[in-house]
Amino acid sequence: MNAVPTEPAEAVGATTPTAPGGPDLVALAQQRRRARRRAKAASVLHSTWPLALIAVVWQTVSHLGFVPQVLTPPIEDIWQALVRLQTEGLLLQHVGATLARMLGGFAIAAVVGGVMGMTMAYWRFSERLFAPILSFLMPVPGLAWVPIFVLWFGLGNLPTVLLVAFVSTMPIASAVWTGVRSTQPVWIRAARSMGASGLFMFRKVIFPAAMPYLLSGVRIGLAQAWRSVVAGEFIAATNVGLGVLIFNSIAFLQSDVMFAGILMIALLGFFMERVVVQLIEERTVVRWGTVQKVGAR
Amino acid sequence: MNGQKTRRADGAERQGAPRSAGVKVTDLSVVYEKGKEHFTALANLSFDIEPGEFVCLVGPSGCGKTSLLNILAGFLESTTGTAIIGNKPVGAGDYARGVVFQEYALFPWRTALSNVEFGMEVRGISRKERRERALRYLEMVGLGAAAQTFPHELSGGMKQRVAIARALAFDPDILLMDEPFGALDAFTRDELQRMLATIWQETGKTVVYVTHNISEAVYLADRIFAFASNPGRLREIVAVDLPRPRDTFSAEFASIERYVTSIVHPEELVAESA
Repeated sequence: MNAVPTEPAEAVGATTPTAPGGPDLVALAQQRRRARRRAKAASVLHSTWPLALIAVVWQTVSHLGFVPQVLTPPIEDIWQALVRLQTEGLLLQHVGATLARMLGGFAIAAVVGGVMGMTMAYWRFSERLFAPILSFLMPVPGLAWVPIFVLWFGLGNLPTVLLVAFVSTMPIASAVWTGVRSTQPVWIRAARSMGASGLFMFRKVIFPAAMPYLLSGVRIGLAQAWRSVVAGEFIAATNVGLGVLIFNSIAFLQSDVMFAGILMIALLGFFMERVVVQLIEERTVVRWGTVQKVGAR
Repeated sequence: MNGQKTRRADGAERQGAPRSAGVKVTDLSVVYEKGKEHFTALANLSFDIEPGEFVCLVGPSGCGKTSLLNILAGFLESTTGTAIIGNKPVGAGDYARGVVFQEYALFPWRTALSNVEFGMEVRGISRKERRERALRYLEMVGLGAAAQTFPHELSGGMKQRVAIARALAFDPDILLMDEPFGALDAFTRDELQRMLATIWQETGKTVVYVTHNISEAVYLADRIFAFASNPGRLREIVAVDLPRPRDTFSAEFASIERYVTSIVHPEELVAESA
């Protein structure tokens, strides 16, 4: 693929439809590939320079010493804490436990929220039942539920997983409900005129039509899940998890470990939002022209 | 390279009789109720359309021409009367009709090619055959090169070409068109009218075409159904016996256009002399 023909033009003249003196198609393709690579590099730069700015300010404050270093531990200490956790084999345990609780809860939310949103879109009774409940409960932050969930479901994994499921079910249900309703009637008509109905109609028309809403539901759901998993871990008193790591570090004033935990949470959240969701978005709704590309203004 | 293959597939299709159905409408009425008020969109309509005929429905807004098209498309139920396409009553769900909408109605998540494949996908035609046939229809509307583009990358005229290919590719009995070129600029509209006339002659499909553009109707139709409003009714059927392709600047063309206009807009007192 990357082989650049070093022979003069007449050697490839037989296979490329290039008129003598016309545009060199190979060079054009290369140029385009290079431009794409440059655009990618630029987009990475765009999403990282503000972080670099924060790091510089942080280091300055930390090393100038007008606040105790325990409040703003320098980046090298945070890095050290991460390395220590890694060599003790604890880092992966913490990250793994938190991810498992979150993804478990989110999976439940996807199923329950999906079914709920669907019944709301197709069945008026369900809409009348759930719509007010959703608008009443959705503004309550996940953190507020933690004590109640511990009271109801005890300590351990269960309350945290259920909290994540509960909190992210709501934005997902709401997104599915709105998404299905937002299918343009003329698409349904066009599909119906060609004989589509039932499950075929759902898979091939309603689902892709609802995609922009579904993705924003997933995005909000993930953010909610992420918040509540950490909140749940603070209180539900298990042995591992990033929330546990942060919360327990206060006992020995290990602020470097706290920030190591926060950094991991931020990195994982960033990865899920900016890499996974955005990638799906670019492959689907942006490509279809139904949603504008990030930064395309 | 695979020209031979394509030619063979073409030949096979021409051997079979083109699927094309007639329309029989009897005593059709559509009454909308709005609280205590009734609005008669169509009153006691009866007519026949021959298989392979091109019929244009013209008339002022509110004359029921779109209601009629929606009934034939199965989107709307008539209050009384029956409409039969081929030998199946409309609304039964299993009759095949290609519909072209003014707003294109392409699926934005599918490429042009995959949009054209949709109807064949519903019918369970194999992927390979679907691809071949869809590409053939795209070439027919002059968009073979745009097969892999998404609708948002196409101009209005190109979108409507894809929509026409999509409505024809699954081989429906009839083609129903609802002001398909109404949103296009005059130049593109002329181009697409010429293309549609050619495609209709090649495929032999029955076409029912709603328009408010009388010149367009005279250019395309075998017969023009002129509607009047309040209540919506068929005022007159005008046969257009001009040779095709039609010369829009001929005296005969102008006189038919003037005549149809005088039926549709009688209040405008179109000069009868000259």
